[in-house]
Amino acid sequence: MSARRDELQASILTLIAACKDGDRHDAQRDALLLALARHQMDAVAPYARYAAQRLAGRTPSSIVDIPALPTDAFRYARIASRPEQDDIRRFRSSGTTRDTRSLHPFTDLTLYDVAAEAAARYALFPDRPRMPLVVLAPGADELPDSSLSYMLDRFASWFGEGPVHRAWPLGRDEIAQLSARLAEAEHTNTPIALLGTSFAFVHAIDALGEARFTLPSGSRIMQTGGFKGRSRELSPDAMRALLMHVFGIDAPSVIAEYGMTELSSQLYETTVRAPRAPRRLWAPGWVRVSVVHPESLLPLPEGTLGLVRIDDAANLDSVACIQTADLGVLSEHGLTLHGRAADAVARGCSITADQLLSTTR
Amino acid sequence: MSDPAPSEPSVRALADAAIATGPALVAAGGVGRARWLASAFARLSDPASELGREACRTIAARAGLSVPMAAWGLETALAPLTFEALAALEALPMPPHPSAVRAHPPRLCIVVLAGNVAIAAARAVGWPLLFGIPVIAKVSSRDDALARLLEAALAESAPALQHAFRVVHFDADDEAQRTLLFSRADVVSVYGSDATLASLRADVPSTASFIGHGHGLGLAYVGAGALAHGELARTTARALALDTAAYDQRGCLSPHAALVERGASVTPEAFAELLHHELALVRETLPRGPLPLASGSAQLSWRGIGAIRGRLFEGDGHAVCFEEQGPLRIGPGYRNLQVIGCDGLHGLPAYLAPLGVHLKCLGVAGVDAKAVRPMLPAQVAPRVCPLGTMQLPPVDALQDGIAPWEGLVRWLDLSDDAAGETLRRR
Repeated sequence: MSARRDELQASILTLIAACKDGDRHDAQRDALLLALARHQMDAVAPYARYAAQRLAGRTPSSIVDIPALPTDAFRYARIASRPEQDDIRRFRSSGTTRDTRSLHPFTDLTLYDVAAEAAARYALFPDRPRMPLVVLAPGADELPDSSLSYMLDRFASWFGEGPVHRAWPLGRDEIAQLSARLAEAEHTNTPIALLGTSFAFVHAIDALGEARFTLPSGSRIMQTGGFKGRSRELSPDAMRALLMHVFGIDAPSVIAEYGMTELSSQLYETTVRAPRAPRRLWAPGWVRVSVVHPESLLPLPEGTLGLVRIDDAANLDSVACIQTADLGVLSEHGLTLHGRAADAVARGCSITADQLLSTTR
Repeated sequence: MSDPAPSEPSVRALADAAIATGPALVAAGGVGRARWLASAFARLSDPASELGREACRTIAARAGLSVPMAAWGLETALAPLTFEALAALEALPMPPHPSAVRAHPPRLCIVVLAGNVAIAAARAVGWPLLFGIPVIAKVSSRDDALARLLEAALAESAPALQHAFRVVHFDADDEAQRTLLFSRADVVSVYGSDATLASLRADVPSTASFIGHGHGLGLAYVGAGALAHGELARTTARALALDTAAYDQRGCLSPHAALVERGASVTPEAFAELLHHELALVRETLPRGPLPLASGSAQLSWRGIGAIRGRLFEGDGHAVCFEEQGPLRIGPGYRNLQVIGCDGLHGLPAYLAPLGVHLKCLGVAGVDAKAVRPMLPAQVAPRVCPLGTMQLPPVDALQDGIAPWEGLVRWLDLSDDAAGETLRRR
């Protein structure tokens, strides 16, 4: 690996360490992101082509000028500064709504691990260094290309107390065991953390039927991801209300996580730390979140709906500046997501790519 | 206490009134109906008339088009629907054999306008009326602009026929209203997505016929003959730019990609650049409408992939992605066109086949349209036409490969045996 790359990694680790308690060093972060993006424009060939055309000869002077790569690029090209033979891990998107899955290869998971642990410790486990974990997701041994499974496995070593209870797959036996585990938590008054995808929670709740629990104070639920057609769909408010009703915990103890295959860092709601603050997604200090106009790509003022751009300093060996397809609004308290922008909504009788895919597959 | 707002006539009452107008519609004859429709279309497309101005404003606002684009749409879509053209179309269906004569028209046609077919609504409701069938158009609240204006224009043109065309709106999930409406129909004609067609087809009574018009798209083919020198290539690009810009590339005939033959004086990449310049010029007279956020997101991804795979020519309100080779990437509309290099007509089938029935139009330049026919896969029946006319289908243009009167004109076998010859032979 190049000396330049190693220097950048050291700087990123320093920044993460400086931000792990919620401190912000935005000027340092932005300078680092700019340096990182310049390195990646040299080292990642598809990004170099993309950035050159977007910049059209202009020299970026700040991170705002750096072209953000659309997440879809990870579906069509290998977005990595290192050759395939150096990969130690390849994360892929679930691929349930598209025929081609995003690929995010890693030659080194150091930054991923440090970033994931720091963000989760700050937002999800600020009050408890360790606690029993109940995971509603497959393990990384079963789904090695899932970044979520990888992260949740790592959670076990960073935050877990005792063996992880894994409720997966959500068959009859697993549901019975989950029910017993929740009852045990109630009985022993031992708070637990339930971690999983939104659709897994919906499946589990449906399978639990009429069962209701009152989990001990200090328990929490981390839910992530959309439904992706894998279960009935619920709005975020309805989903939270359902979780509170079934598991008997209060609203601040339900925490949404926002992550994606193309990133190395995650955003969290911070209601465990600040129960009375508005419910928003918090970005750790090494991550820069902005909301941009879809055509000018310029940042929009707070309170304006636009497309979410995430510049993730932990994306060292791919591309740090990522343009998502998610709609969101920024405020002083953080990011509010407004769902995925689907091209199926284009008004007209011209068929959309999604419609075409769904009918010609 | 104020009086309650007057409620719209019930669906049943509207349908019954429409059916009752059937005899008057038939009595008007093809010529009379052509005159009636042409008069309404002329007023709607006349920018000097109050109705024409309102149509332009309303369609621009509802469909998200710029006012000049809406005006262009009204002018090019409605102005050709003249009395002469409509009368000729009405007389066009030929009996399948000498003893066949036209049967009475069906009693009622329900036209469901589920997609945003603002200006296309003219033909959707105009054709059944032309062939003597009263129409109830079921519209969505956001897409009712032209249908409502046409309803007013037709009623003013012939008050006696005012009930022959009425517009209704109810929620898409109001099954009771839909069932009631469909139960009165002999023909149900649906414009919408595949999912809408599949869903509504199941609700059509077995006694009624169903005509589906699904969403679709267009493709362009530019042969070496149109790329022989710069000026010819520029003219070709200008024609394709207009096809692309029309209705902001949201129509079912709108081209989303152009296959451009290699080996000519003007390369596919150079043609892409010409197209980029021509799209910029089109914008001066026909600006694009506002870009919705969701489409903006898709556009961003589409352009981004284009920049990685090839060369992106990006303008104010349009983009052309040149890719030397590669798969068709259907863009989000809003004037985003992919240009792919190809080695001639024999490359067409691989691109056309996956589109299936969704390919509604193939615009061609630099090649004889007849030469294209052998290249069309079996399931594909697009309109093949010169570039520059993709969005200007003639009055008698086929829709989805079928004649405009298909399903609307029925035939009676009249085997005359007044002299009892047949019986005597037995």
